[in-house]
Parts: sequence; structure tokens; C-alpha cells
Amino acid sequence: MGTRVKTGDLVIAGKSFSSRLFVGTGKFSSLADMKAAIENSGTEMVTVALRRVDIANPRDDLLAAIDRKKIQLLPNTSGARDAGEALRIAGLAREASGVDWLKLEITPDPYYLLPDPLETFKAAKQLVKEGFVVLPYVNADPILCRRLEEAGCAAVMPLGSPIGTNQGLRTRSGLEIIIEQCRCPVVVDAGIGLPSQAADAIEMGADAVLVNTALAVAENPAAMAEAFKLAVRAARLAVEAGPGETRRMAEASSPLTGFLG
Amino acid sequence: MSRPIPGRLLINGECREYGPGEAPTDLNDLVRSVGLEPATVVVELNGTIIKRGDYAACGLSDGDRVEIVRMVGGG
Repeated sequence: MGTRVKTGDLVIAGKSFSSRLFVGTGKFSSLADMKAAIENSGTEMVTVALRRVDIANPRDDLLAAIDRKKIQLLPNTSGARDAGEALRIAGLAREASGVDWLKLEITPDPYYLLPDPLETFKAAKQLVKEGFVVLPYVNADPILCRRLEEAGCAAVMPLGSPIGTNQGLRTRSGLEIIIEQCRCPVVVDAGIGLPSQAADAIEMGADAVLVNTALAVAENPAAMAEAFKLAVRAARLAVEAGPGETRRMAEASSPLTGFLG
Repeated sequence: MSRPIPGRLLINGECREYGPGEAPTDLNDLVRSVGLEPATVVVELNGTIIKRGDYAACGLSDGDRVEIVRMVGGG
């Protein structure tokens, strides 16, 4: 796990988070479901997106449903297909949300929504210059993550599997190297479908996980949010407790002396 | 300063026509005219982001392109 801090709160850009579960607010069937999931998850960071208002049918204001005193907003640049579009969305999101934190997300491919590494790197450099706290969503590419860290990103957010697929940590070997090599916080984002997969990421040494679809599409989002909260907490406790080594051969748990004659 | 139109505004890709006296006089007025609270949205006028505090001083002209955006649920 390299130089990763094994105790205490997670700190990103000087801000402390006691919960290591970040929550996305998309795809919930109602604002009430979203609020209940946020509450039960214990999260202190939620992602939001920027969209054109449907003038014919404006819905309720999302931000009014989020307790900004307890929760850090992380606006994303979803919908951006290149660096130029991401910069435009970033400017609007900063104005709309009042925060300069940004999940930089550039996904030109509509089928797998995989992030474009070249455009992401280009946009990240510019956004850091403009004073944004940049958390880029990237494939689990260790070299790219290090380059983004050097460019001044506050954290990196490698994907476990494509967005919304609930496939879990399919990029495991890349994630392990990123966790080993990056000094900035590593947030495993996208594809986490079950609490066990979130726990797995944290036990691997990830600093946090970001979960959206798994909560939003659950039959009971509030209950699923609680399940994720407990899993992430348990896994983090285990990391701090210092797990024993994996061994190939058996080592007896019971004493090997004093057998009955 | 606001210039009176009759004319057209392109609001979120939708063309709206205004006769004499019908057009919104400034951005606050325009946002309210489509049923939204200015404090909950951000407006881009002809590609430039307008600070919320400047809405009242920002007049409109025939042919202006207005984008009204806000935060929604997203991952």
C-alpha cells in the first residue's frame, strides 16, 4: 500500500472526510429516495451533474435537497466529449454550485462511457491552473494517474468497471498498482455493484469509493446505502487493524504441542 | 442596459417570439418568465457565463442565445 496513510480521516485538498463512501445522485427514482440514500450512507461527498433546464417541464431544485453544511458537492463534467466541453461545463458548474471542486469526466464513447485519457489530461492541467480542485475520472492506468497527480490533481478516480455496470473491480491489477504508486488519494469510481466490492476496494488500500447506480437502482436505495456504509466502514477498520499476510501453506491455529498421548 | 425588443430569443434551443411590450427586460425577468428562480440556475448569454449578481443589469437583444442550466442528479 506504499505510503498510503493507514489511520485517521481521508483528506482531499485540505478537507477532512470521516466517511470513505462518496455517493452519486443520478438515476434515483425520486428526490426522496436520493435523500434517504444520502442520509443512510453517512456520506460527506456527493456528485452532481449540470444540465440544461427543460423549460417545458422544470423539476424541483436538486441542491435544495442536499444539506450543504454536512456534504461537499462534487459537480461532474458528464456529457463532455472533449477538453473544451469539459472546461465550459466546469465554469458553469462552478457558478451553479458555488464550489470549485470538480469530478473531471470526459467520455466520448457512448457505449462504454470510458474516459478519454488525452483529453482528460489536457483539461486537468488547465483546470488546475484555473484554481479548480480536480478529481479526474480515469481508466485504471497507473502511469496516467501519476501524470495527473504531478499535474496537480487533488485525487484520482480510476474505474472498477464501466459506469453503471455493477461488474465490480474488473480492473484489479491496475488499481493495485495505482494504490501502490500514487501519493494522492485514490477513489475507486464506477462499476461497484455490491457492498462486498466496495469493501474489497478499501481493503486493497483505496482511500474511498464512489457509488451511484448500485444505490439508485436497488429496490430499496436507503437500505442499500446503509449496507454500503457498513461495508466501507468494516473494510477501513480492517485496514487500520493491520491484516495478517496471505500464506500458501497451512499454519495451525491450535497449539501444536500438548497433544493427548 | 436593457434594450427593448420585440424580436426573438433562443432559450435552451427553443425559439421564442415576443411582440412589443412582451419581452423580458433583463435576465432575472427572463428566468422568472419561464418559471424558475434566478438563485437556482446559471445563465449563459451568447456563450458567456453571467454572474448571478449581474442578471438584473443584463439586458436582452433580438437574436440573443440564452442557456439556462442547473445542477441535477449525476454520478
